[in-house]
Amino acid sequence: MSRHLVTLTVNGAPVTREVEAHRTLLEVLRDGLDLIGAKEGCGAGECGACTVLLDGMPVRACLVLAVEADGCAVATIEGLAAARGPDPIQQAFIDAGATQCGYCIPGFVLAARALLDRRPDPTDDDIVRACGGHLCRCTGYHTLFEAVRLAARRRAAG
Amino acid sequence: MEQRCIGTSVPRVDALEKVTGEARYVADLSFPGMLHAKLLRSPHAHARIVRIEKAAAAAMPGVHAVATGKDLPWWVGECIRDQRPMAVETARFAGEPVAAVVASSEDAALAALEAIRVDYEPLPAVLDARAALAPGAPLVHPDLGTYHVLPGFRPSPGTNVFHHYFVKAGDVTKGLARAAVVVEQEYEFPHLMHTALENHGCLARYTAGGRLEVHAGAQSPFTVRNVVAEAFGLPRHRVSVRGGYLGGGFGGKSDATVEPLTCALARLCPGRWVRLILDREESFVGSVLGRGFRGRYRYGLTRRGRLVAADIDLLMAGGAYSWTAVNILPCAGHNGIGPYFVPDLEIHARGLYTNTPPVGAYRGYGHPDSQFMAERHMDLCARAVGMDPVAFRLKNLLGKSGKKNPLGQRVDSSAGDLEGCIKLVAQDIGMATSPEGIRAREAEPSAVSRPAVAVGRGLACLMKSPGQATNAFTTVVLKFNEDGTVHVISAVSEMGQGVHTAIAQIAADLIEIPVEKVYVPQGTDTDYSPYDWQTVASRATWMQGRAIAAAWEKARKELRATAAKAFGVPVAKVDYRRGTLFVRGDESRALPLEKVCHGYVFPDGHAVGGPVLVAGHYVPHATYADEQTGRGELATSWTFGCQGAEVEVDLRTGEVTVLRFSSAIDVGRAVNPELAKAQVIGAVVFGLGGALTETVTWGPRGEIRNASMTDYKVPTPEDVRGIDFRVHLLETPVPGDPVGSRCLAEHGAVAVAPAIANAVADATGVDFFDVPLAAERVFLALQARAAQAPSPKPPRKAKGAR
Repeated sequence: MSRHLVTLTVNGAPVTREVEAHRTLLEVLRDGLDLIGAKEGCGAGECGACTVLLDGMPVRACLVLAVEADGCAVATIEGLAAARGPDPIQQAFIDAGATQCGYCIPGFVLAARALLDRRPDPTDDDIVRACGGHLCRCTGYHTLFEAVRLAARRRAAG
Repeated sequence: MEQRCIGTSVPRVDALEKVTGEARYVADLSFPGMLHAKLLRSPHAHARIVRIEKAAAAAMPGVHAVATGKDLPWWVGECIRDQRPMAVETARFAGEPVAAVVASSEDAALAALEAIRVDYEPLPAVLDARAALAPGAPLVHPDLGTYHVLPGFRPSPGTNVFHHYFVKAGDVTKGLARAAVVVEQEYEFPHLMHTALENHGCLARYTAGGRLEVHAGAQSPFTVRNVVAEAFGLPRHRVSVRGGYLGGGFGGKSDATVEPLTCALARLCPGRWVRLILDREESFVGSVLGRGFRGRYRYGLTRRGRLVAADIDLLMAGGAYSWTAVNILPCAGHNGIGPYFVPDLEIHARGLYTNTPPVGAYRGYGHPDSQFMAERHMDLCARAVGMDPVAFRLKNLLGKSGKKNPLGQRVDSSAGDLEGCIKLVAQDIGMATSPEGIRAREAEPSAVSRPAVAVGRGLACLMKSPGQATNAFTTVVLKFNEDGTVHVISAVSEMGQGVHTAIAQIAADLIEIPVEKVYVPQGTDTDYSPYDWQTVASRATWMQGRAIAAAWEKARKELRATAAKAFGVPVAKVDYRRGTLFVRGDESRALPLEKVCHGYVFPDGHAVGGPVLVAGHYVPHATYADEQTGRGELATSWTFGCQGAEVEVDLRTGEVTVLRFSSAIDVGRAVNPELAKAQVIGAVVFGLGGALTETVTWGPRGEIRNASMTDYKVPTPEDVRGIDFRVHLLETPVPGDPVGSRCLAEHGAVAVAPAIANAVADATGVDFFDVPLAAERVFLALQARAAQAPSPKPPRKAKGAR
């Protein structure tokens, strides 16, 4: 198996790793960089639990080869919280009561982040579309939608 | 106790860890030198394992061990010990592990699996409960008579029946003979998959000193400990099982699934951690499934709509191994009639071995399975006697006059206001409850509001009691710290339900301190945690509340004794209120909790009392079923409720859209109303999956054909976005309970399927007797009906009567 040098900017810090061609971004994040916030739920792009942001766009890290991400900026859930506490989107998920088992939450939070960066004032259609492809087996989704709405309202209020 | 925190919606204690990605799950753990296990699974539903060639695999780089079933000569199980960690000689379901590789990396293990050759001789398989019951059916367990069986379970050697639970009251034959109207129908609730976002996983190490250490992604670390200790003949103190956050359980992780096998493989590689994490397909085919019930319902009624007799026969396709399924049978059985009074009844629930993955607990534990049938049947019966379904239910309710349920327990209004629940739900979804309302509704134009769309409404009652062992203790430890803060140490697993938050609230109110002063450590370690039987059955908050009350009583006694010494007064003169110990009648003589709870230090430096560390436990009174009648204290706490749906059916496509879904449940006291409502809505959506889209489908060789999240259709954000969810939590006080809460967790999933099917029947006139009501099936049924009777107006009454 061929090996390749891959350079990523992960949560703002440059990282270079030699990886086999078939390694996914998820494997490199979890096994190589100990960033275990991205979860493997299906390994096939079906559940969204491994979502990270690649140059600001949400991607399923289990479907992206590490070599494909070469040169990109990767944001994981670990990069969101500041030293002084959760970021406002994370706080909105707490306040909306959107977490239950928590396994899908990093994916939803990052999807919300990408949405709000792109569309600060999202419609309900935008929110549902941004959550599309993310599965949650606990909440029934309504508190998750509400968390995104709350985060948007708070951003708008400054 | 003054309830200041109970009843308020404090934020979850685990929310921050979860939104920041800090929360650790079993697949996130790793240890130096850790090895990885991968499994080879049988492609056949039933086959003799003729030969396994493993030498080539064992010689591959990085491989530490290659095992077949014969290398792991242990038995696994609790009630009926019928399983091996891995198949020996016979593979009994497609997906059963037949060989395993332990290697230095997952890649090395997977490569070695490819080098294992297995010769199978396929055997005739039984995939369905009826086929398994038929005379001459292939036997899944020819050795059934030789297994270790706990008291109360009745396997029938020479058949596929692993348990037969029945309950009887009155004389059902006479009751049916006397009935003016008899309604009979068969139903089915097929197999479902839990599909928790987190797959099953386990890490185990067999230490040089002969201890087994386990990290389990399991709901019940103590049960895992007991199962593996029994399997390996180890004393309990030589096995430690640690549990942490679970990425969803829903019953699928409630007993033991991958843990015995992981531990068995660890014994082959002493000193090293062995990690087995299933992938998604393996979680489908190689853990446990849910439901898999068929039922034949026969009710007798008077012409005026009073139920007089019920004859119910339930069959469960329990899969290849029974021990996770066996206790579901009594629950499905004695709850199989719903919350109605029937004087003459007989309910049989038989569990059948089938060549399918084992069935285990699945959100509701038998209750949704049989209550789907019961609540569909109630609608058929109402129709047969020309009554409104709401009025018919109200007429036959169990709790109204303190009559006895099938178990012989008297159920009265203190068990909850079910009538109130029904009325709230009926109002929400636009079903009338009063005679005037019924007349008004019948005068309405047809429910078909648009040419291609039919709107319908349906409701169903729910009842649930925890299905648990008679000695299913829970324990809690209160550990007071030097500053008056308190650790509440408990072994109940936090799997999303919010139990640690509820525990903190209950402890805060009982101890009368702010909730911020209470800490509930996350994670269980059977070496250090107080015993809890299992985190299942919606029991954790209810049982823990009572255990905390018992522990606090002891702590309070100790605190008063220490304070008495400090004050120099008799203990009887010392009282406690809101974090302060004081002399009764002279409240100027007072000490704050923190001056007493770690012993009191006198001005000269000498100390009395000591750090307060107390345990409390709770178990409700429960008994085995009576051998003759099936009656007994099998249910220890009831929660009643009602659920209803307003749906829209697209007559061109068969697609069912839920417009509104209402749930009303009498919870006694909602410890945290927002968490409780979130539990209910989450359970409703979980139930909607089983009602509308989810079902396990089988291929020609008995293999699961849709073992992926693309092909097994759990509800998605798009599916639920438009639904108007209503939740009512009624609070009829629970007599004599220190907290006042009833069990609540699974309940929101119990009556979803019948409510939907009743609503679809109301909308279209087409009756479904099984689920899911997927668009394709509804479309075909509409087509079939159109071919039969070209009338465009859906018939509303008088179907199903015989």
